[in-house]
Amino acid sequence: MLSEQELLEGCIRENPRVQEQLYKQYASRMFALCLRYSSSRMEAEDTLHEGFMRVFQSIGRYTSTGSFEGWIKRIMINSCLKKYHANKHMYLKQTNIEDFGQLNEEYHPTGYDKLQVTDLLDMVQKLAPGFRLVFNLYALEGYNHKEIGEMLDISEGTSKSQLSRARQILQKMLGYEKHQTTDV
Amino acid sequence: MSEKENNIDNLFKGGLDGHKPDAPEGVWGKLSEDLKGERNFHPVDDLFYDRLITNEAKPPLNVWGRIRNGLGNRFDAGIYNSLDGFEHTPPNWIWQSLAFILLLNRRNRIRRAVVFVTGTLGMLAFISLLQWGLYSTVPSFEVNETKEVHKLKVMKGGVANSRQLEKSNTLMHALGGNEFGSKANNKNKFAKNKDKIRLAKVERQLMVTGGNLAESKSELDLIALSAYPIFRLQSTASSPNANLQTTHFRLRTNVRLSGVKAPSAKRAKTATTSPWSIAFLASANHSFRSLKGAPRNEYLLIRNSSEKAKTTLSYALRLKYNLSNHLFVSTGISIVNRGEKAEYDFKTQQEAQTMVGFYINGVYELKPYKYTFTQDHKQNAENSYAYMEVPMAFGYRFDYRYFSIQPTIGVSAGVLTAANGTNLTMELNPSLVSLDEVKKQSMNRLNVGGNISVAVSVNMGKKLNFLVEPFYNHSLNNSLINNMDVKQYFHSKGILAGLEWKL
Repeated sequence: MLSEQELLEGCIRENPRVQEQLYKQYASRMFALCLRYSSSRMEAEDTLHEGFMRVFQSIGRYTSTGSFEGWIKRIMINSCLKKYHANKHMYLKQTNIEDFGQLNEEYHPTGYDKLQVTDLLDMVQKLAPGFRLVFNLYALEGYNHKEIGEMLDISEGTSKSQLSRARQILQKMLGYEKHQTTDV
Repeated sequence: MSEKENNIDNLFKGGLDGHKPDAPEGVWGKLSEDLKGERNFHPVDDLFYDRLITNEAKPPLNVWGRIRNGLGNRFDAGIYNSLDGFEHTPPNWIWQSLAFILLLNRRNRIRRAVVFVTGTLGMLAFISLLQWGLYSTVPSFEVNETKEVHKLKVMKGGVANSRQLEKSNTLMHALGGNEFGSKANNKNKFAKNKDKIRLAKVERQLMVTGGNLAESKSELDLIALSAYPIFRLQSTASSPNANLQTTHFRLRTNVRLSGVKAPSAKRAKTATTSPWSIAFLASANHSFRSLKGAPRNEYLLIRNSSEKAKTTLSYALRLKYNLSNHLFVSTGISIVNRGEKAEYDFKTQQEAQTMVGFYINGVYELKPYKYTFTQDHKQNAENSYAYMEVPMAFGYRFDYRYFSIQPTIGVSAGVLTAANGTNLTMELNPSLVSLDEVKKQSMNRLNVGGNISVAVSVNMGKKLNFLVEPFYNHSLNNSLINNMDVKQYFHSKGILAGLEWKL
């Protein structure tokens, strides 16, 4: 396996074998990330394609100040955000929050060990695009509401509200109410 | 430090060194809460974070194929660039042109045979590549769809005009259907009255592409073989009356073979290593001159109205030395012809004295007699002055893909080798001007000038360039001998053109 430096130098020289090696090395992790940010597998494939194209085209600008994987990850997230901004006008129909009740702050999800990763992914993908992005950026990437607001061009309050709603929906999907009733 | 204090130190050091007590429970919880600050993670967040953040998912094979295709030419360029010293001659355009010609000729049996053979070979090659594991990248599956809609107005009794008929036939021909026939045939085919027919071609292609790069020690050092089986579905829809619904299924395989030929060792050793280049140039020289110090306006008036700039041919042999990737110096030798075209037509009045004989008181005496006469000067002349010059220039090269732009600045020093023609001389008597033959003796043998130019060098081959170079030369010294009252400076502008060979 090539070192990170060798990968960088090879990709700058546009060596196709090294480009393929870089793709193989990071594709699985990045595809998992794209799946979390997309509503379907096909959309995730498109985002992965666009993201890696941007990686190869702008690899000369990587300054080695942060981790290389972090830089690729950031490009992938930006590709997801770009896709979101481009299709924002299509997302008028948001998920009806009222259908999912109120968020229980004391809720501790347990007993979900048998739940498959694909099930969780499926739940995230079912979220409305805005909710999905905010949830991913806050809960999984660790951005704060101010940063998310700047990324998505929304207010900090909207970010908080969307996160709360995303959690409600996921809680509902996890079957919290049913789970609670059964326990009682 | 006293001995007592040292003992205490050793006591604590011995007792506590290596002591690793467990941190009290809850410290990390408190610490993580403090680190979170304002951040408030919900247990739902934790569940998804724990399960998804380290998740990996293998993307489908076609994604890399799409990325590789997206990198396009850069993919090939990358290969060639990595092979330093190799001369590449990808003959793609030849294959594409041949394929185009073959595909144009629809009725040719040879074409069908060639398509069948290449298709079979291509499929076999493709299967072999997969079988032998030579296939270096994942296959790419693509579905393309193109749609072409053509509207045709049909007037009563047939097609409206010949241009529309031609367009329709072209389309129908491309679709593999029958051409529209004469008006009589159309009568049966189309509606009786004015109607519009809409022809549409919908073409779907399922492309399976792949390629292999294999290095060998044969004459072709790199072989790129790619096979493209193409499954094509064509369907045609038109107005119901025309009954032109057709569907075609085709399976075609395109094969592309391109090679990278390695140069011989000798060529590789000398390739583009020399910083020298030599150029043979010719120029159209438009020379003109400026006059200074003429004591009489009449003289300037005659010259400015009678003499015109002349275009002459000059030749140059130029040596260029590259100091770096962009900077260069050049020198050489130039045969520069300068001159002017003169159409003199002026009159001068001169005073003369002659001895005239008179009989005064019966005695014959010769007396001086002064008179004034007018003299016409009419003469056409082609004046030319040939110099042999040595230019010295300093330049910078802006490189582009197919050409470079090279602005230069420099000086040139030359000696007069020939001077011919007729020139206007100014006699010592200021009232007299006359014509005289141009003589080298009246010219300054040395000429020094400043040059600026901008050359455009078009790459014609690995070692051959075509140069076009507009220039301006400004003489810095008098072209006439210094004891004349008038000073004459030659300047010239023109365009040099020629070939440059990289040594």
